[in-house]
Amino acid sequence: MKQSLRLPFGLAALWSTTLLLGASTAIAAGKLQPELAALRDPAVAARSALASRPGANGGAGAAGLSALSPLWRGDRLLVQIAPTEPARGVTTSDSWSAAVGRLEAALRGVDGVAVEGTLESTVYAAVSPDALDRIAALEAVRYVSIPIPPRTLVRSDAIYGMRVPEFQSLGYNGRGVRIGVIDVGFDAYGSLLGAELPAKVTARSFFAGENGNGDITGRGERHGTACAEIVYDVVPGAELYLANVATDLDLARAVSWMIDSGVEVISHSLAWFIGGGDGTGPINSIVRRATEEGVLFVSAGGNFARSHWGGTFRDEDQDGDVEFDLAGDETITLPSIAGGNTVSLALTWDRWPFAGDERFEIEIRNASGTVLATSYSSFANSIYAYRLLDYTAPSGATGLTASVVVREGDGAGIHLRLFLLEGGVGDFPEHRVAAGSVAIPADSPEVLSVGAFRYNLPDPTQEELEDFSSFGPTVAGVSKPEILGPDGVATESWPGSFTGTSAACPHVAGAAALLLSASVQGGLFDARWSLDDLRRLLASAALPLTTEYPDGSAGWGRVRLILDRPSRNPSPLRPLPGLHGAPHLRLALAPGERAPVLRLYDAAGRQLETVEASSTAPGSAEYLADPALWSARARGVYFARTMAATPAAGSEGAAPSASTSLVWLGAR
Amino acid sequence: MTDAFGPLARLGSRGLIALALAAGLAAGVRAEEGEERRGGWYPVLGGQLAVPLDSDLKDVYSTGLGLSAGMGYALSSRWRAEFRLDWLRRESKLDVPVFAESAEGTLTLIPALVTARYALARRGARPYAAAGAGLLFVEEQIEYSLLGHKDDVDGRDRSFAAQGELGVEIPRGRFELRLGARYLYARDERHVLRATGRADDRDTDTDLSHLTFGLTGTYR
Repeated sequence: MKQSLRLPFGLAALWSTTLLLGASTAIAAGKLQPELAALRDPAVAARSALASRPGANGGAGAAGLSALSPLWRGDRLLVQIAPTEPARGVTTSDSWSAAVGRLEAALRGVDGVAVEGTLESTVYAAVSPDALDRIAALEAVRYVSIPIPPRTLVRSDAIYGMRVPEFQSLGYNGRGVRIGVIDVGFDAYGSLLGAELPAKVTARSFFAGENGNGDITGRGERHGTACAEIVYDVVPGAELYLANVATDLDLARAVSWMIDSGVEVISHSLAWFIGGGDGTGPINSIVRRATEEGVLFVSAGGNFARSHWGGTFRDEDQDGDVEFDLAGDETITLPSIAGGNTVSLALTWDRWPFAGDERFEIEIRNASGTVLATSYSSFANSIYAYRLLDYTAPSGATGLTASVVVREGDGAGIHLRLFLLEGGVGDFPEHRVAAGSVAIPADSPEVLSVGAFRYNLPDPTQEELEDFSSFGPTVAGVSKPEILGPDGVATESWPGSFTGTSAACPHVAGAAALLLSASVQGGLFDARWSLDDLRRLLASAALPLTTEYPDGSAGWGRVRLILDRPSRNPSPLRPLPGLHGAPHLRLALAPGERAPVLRLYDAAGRQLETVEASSTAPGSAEYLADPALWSARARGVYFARTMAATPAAGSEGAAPSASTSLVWLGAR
Repeated sequence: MTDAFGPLARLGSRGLIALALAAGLAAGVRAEEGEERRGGWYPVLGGQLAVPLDSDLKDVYSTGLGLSAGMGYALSSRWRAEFRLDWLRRESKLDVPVFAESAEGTLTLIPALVTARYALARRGARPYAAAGAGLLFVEEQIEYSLLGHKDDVDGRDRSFAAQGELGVEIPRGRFELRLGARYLYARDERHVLRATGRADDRDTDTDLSHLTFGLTGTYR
C-alpha cells in the first residue's frame, strides 16, 4: 500500500529548522518568517527563484528553497501578510476587514510589491526579496509569512460496483455537464488526451501563476492526473476542467474560475490544515461560495484515522504540555525514522480567523526529552491557528516523541487536532483518535465528504472500510463522511494501486455528474437536480457496508448509482409540505425485531437528534422528535438512519430494510 | 386541448404555409372592394395558434395558443408599421429518468417585434406580406418530482427573433380582420438551470422557430 500522503514538492526543507540557524536575533524578533528572512540574501534569493523555473530541479545550494518554487512569480515571491490591527483577540469580521483595507493601501505604496488579493483577514502580495525589509518596516504589518500548500491524499475498474455501465446504458454519460478537478499537479495529462482522458480538456494553472498560466504539472505531480482519469472513467461524456493550486489563494482563484466557467461539480482530493476543524477558516469560506453558486463540492475526507489525535485542551499539572489522555501522558511516541527521512506534523485549533490570545507549538523530542525541533522556530509570530513541523532525522531515530505545548493563553475550551502527515513513518502508535480525524474542507457542512472503502469486485460483501479513512464528527458535531468511494484502483498515470480517499473522491464526484446529466430536459433549459436532490439520490442508492466499521465512519454507505424508482417510501425523508414542528414517525418492524434507535440528520449531514421509540406495537414502533429542536425547522430534507437499540460497532446503517419502511405521520 | 390541432400540426410547416396562402388569396379574390384606409394610429388585438416546426421545441412541446396586442401606424394605403407583443404559452409533460416520478414544463414565449407590412391591393380583402425583427423573451418553468420530493425551477432568457408573415386583411367598416400565417425564427444557446436560479450557457444552440396562425382585429 502506498503512503496515504505525499509531499507535492520539497516542503520538508521549507519548514526545516536548519535554515533558522543563520537567522539573526533581530529577525527572530521581527515580522518576517525566518525562511523569508533568509531570502534577503540576494544569492539565496537568486538560487530559489532559479529553482522555480519549469524543468529546474532545485540546483546545487537551492535545497529547501525549491519548496518555495510554486510561490515565485518571476523574481517576486508570493507571501501572506497579516495586519497589525486590530489588537489580538479581536475577531469581529468588520474590524478585520477595515484593518486589511488599511494594510492593502499601505502595501500599494511600497516599491517591489504587487498586491494579488485578499482572503479573509490576510493580504497576499508578490514581493521582491529586497522589499521584504520595507514591508516589515510598515506599521500596518504584523507578520509576513509563507502560504502553506495542501497535501495530496494518495492511497481506478471500481465503476462496475458503482453500476456505472448500467446507468450509462440508460442514455446518460455526463453529456452537457461540466466537472472540475482541483489538485496540485496534472503532470503528463496531455499525453492521455483522447485515451485515458477526453480528447479536449480545459486546464488552468494557478500554481506559481497569478493568472492561471502557471505550471500545470505542479513540478511533476501526477496525483491530479490520476484523479482526472477516474472522473473520466465514471463520466466520459462530461466536459473536464482541471486546475492546480499551491496555496489557499490559488484555491480561491481556481474555484472562482470554475464557477465562472459553469462547472457544476468539483472534485477536490486534497487536505488543508487551515481551519478549526469545525467548518471555519478560509478554505471553507471558498467552499461555501461554490455551494452558494449551486456547485457540488466533493472533497476527500482524509486518510488520518490512524494518524490523528484530537481533544479539548487539558493540562492538569499546569506544566504547559498538553495532556493527550486522562492519565496525563504528554507525549506521543512517533514511529521509528530511517536516516534522512522526515516526519511531518500539523496542529490546528478551533480559533479562526485568528488564534486570538492562544498560542500552541509542536515539539519533537528525543528519548531523553531534549527538544530536537519546534514549530516555534517558524511560527514564533504567526497569528494563525495552525502549526507545521518537519523533522528530518540525520540518522536512524527511535524513541522520538511529539508534544504540544501552550506558550500563551490558558487554552481553556480549545479543541486541538494533531496530524501525522507523511514521510513513510507510519501511524501514531498511541493516543490515536480516529473520530474527528476528517480533513479540511471535508469538515464543512456544505461539502460532500468522501471516505474510502477497498473495492472487491468478485465479492462486494467483503468490501471493507479502509482503516485510515477519516471520519467525524467534526469539531462542530457534524457527521462525516457522507458517503464512501472505492479506492485501490489502477490508472494509467498511477500504476499499481491508487489508494486513499484521494481515489475515492473522484468516483463520487463522477457519479454526481452522471446524475446531473440525467436531469430533466426542457425546451430551452435543462433543469439540474438541486444539491439536496443529489444528496438524496446518492443516499438512496448507497450500499451499506456489510463488514465491521467504527460507528459513524461509513456515512450512507458505498457509492452506487440509482437505476430505478424506489418502490417504498425511502430514507432519506422529507417533511410533509407545510410541516411545522417535530416529526412523528412510524417504523415497520420485522417479527421479533426490537425497536431500534433513530438518528435524524439534516441535508448537510448534521446529526439533529437521536430518538428512541415512544411506543411500540406488534409490527411497528412510533417515534416523536423533540419539538424544542425542531421549532425552527419547516422545510428541507432530512435523513434518518436506524441504529440497533444497543449500539455496536457496525450496527449503524445495517438495517436498510427497516429504514426504508419509515414513514412520516405528521408533526407536533 | 392541443390534440384538437393535431391534424394541422401533421401538415408540416410547408403545408401550413401553403394552406394559409391559399386561404388568403381565396379571401382576397372573393372580397368586396372596401374603402381605402386613412392614416394614423390603430390598436391590434388577436389570438393565434402556435405550431412548432421541425425544431428542438417540437421534441418537447406540442401546439399551443396565444394572444397578441400592439399598436400600428398606417404610413400609406399600402404600408403599415406595427409593434406587436405576443404571448404564447405551452405546457407539456417532460421525459424523466426512470428513477424520477414526473416532470412538467410550461414554456412562455413573448416575441416583441417591429413589423413592416405591405398590402398587395388597395381595396377590399387584400393579401399582404410582412417582415419584422425584435426580441423573443422566453420563460420556462419546470416542476419535477424526485424521490417523493417536489421542486421547481424557473429559467428566463431572450434572443434575437425575426419573422415573415403572409395573409389577408378583410375590412368591415372601421374594423378589420386579418387572417395570417407567420413564421417566427429564433435561436438561443441551450442553458443549464440550477436550483439556485443560475443559468449557464452551453455550446449547443436550440432552435425555437415555430409557425403561428392568427386571427387579428384592428379598429380605426
